[in-house]
Amino acid sequence: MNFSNIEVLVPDLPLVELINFNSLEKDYLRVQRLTFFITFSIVGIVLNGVVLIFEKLQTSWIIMLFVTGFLLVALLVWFGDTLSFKYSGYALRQKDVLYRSGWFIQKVRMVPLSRIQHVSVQSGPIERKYKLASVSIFTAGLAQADFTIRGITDGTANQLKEGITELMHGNEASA
Amino acid sequence: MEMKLPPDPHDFSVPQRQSVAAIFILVVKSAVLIAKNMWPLLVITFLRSNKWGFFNKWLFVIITFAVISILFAVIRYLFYRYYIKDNNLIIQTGWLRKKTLSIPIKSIQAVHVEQNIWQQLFRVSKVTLDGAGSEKTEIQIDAIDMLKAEQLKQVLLLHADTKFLGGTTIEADEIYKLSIADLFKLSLSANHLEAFVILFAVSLNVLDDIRKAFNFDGWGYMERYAGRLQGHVVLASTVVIIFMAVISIAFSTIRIFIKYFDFSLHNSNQKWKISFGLFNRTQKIIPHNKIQLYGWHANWLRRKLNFWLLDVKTVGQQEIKEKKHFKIPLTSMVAATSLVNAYQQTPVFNIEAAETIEPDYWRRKTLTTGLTITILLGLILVYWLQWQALWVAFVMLYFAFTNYRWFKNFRWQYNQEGLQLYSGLWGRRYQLLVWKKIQQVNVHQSPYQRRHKLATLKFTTAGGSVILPYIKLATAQRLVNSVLYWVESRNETWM
Repeated sequence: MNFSNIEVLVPDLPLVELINFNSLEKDYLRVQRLTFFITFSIVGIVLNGVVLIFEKLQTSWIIMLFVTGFLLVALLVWFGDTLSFKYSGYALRQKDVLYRSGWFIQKVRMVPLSRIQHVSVQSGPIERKYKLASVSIFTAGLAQADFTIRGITDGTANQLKEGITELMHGNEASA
Repeated sequence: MEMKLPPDPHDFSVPQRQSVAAIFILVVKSAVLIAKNMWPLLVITFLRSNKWGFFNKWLFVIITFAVISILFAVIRYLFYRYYIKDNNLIIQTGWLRKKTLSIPIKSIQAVHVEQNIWQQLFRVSKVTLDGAGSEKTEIQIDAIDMLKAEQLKQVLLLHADTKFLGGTTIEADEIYKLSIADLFKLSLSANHLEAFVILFAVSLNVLDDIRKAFNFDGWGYMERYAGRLQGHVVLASTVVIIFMAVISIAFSTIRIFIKYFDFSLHNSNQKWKISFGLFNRTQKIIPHNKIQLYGWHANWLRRKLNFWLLDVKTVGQQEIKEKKHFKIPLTSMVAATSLVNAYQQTPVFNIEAAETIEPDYWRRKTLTTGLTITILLGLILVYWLQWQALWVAFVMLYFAFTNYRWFKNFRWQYNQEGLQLYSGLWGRRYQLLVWKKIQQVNVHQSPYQRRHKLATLKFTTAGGSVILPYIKLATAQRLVNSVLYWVESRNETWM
């Protein structure tokens, strides 16, 4: 009983590492900056409130701790957003969709079109202001989306959705 | 199949009852069913009412029990009819709530004729049918004359869709069963620590209940008793430890017997039919194509005993969002490998010839999680122990050792059909993945991995995912490209 493991090399094997990923819209970085300011303002106000209410917390070293912690996290998120924005991108091939993201741990996710159950397009209030949208890809077995491509114009999002759906059915028909 | 048709085939088109012996079979069945559902009630009546003497109480319970069982059985017998009409097997049941079940014979995939001790005594058989896949619609006729049962089977199979039956191999089912000895083996090697924790939590409650029910102070008794034992600490603790060990093992044994009693697995062409359980018989049909991930594992002790738990992750057509997984006890490695062809054609790999992952795995893992935990622990301990907190360095050693061992044990191999993984620290786990089941492929890289041209791969199926950590980036890319090519070019379905 031997497990055979013959090297399989298809001469024209399509290579994932050579794909040119489409980068995200510049406006998406603005959306992220805005979201960043809103979230951190709220967190800052809440922290301030907590310190003002509880007198016991009003010692210099606790306040120092809060301020340093807050700034550190804020800085991390700011640079994280920037780096992640630069790296993120998507690609649609004939037979699969690819999405890469992350800044510390970078991920490339690949879903064959034949496995997609459905595709959805959505956008949040800030995204809408900049005419941006996200596309979510769903496969079987997972309750949430496999991945969501954020930061593309709503036109591209709809095109992408149409394209994926078309290719999905095209593949089915040819099968 | 060399079953000769009896000279005078029975006419099944007339609605008919089961054999009269069914009453007895049904009495037994009802009794078990009632006992199962009512035992808490019975226990409570026993503990609560003090009006009657002990004997009368017993008599009352037994008589009520018997009368109800017989009544149920007779009613079920009288109102149960089965017949064949227009290529449908029709079963009518119910007295107050009538129910008619109509099963297209075409959809029947298998017919089983079985006999337990009672049925053998009365020379009757139980007939069960497997439908077209769903688990709950299993149909059963409890007791019909042995000869008639065979005839019914012939008639049903004659009309059944032969594509499911795969020729005449129905009776050549591969059957896998657990014996009583196997159950003991399984019990002894169970996780007794887990059993002990459960038992401990339950016993705290029970002690409290006993106190309320009997006005007996369990805690007080234990405290007084323990008081007398003072000065015999070694003896006392030895007794307590042995006592706890015995109780935990007994508890595991009972738990395993209740769960896996009379376990059987029928392996036919397209599916597994599994049934097990002492009180609650669980019956499952697992069509082979629903299996998404296939694996088996053993803890340290079970590995020594060659006892494995098969772990099968499935997803169904209707319940696409609902993952299920089944654990099936196996008495040997051979059992695990012989059932593999339900999932893949490739035989299980030889771990000696397989590939390893990169040693960066254990070094990085130790440095990141190990060091973080050690430093945090050290900072906390310095508060109490001052410089003696340096002993915490042993924690680091522990992490280094376990990570190294895990890395050393890890093996993987792939071919055109799928991937096989082998891993474990003390126990061992085999994981098999067939490419066509893949829903998503991920490549992960931490900054360290990027610098050293390494990657971690994650393959996700509808039933769960499999991770292949720390392999060379070039290997990872070649694997990913090939896998995508295989999945996308073959047009195989994942279910």
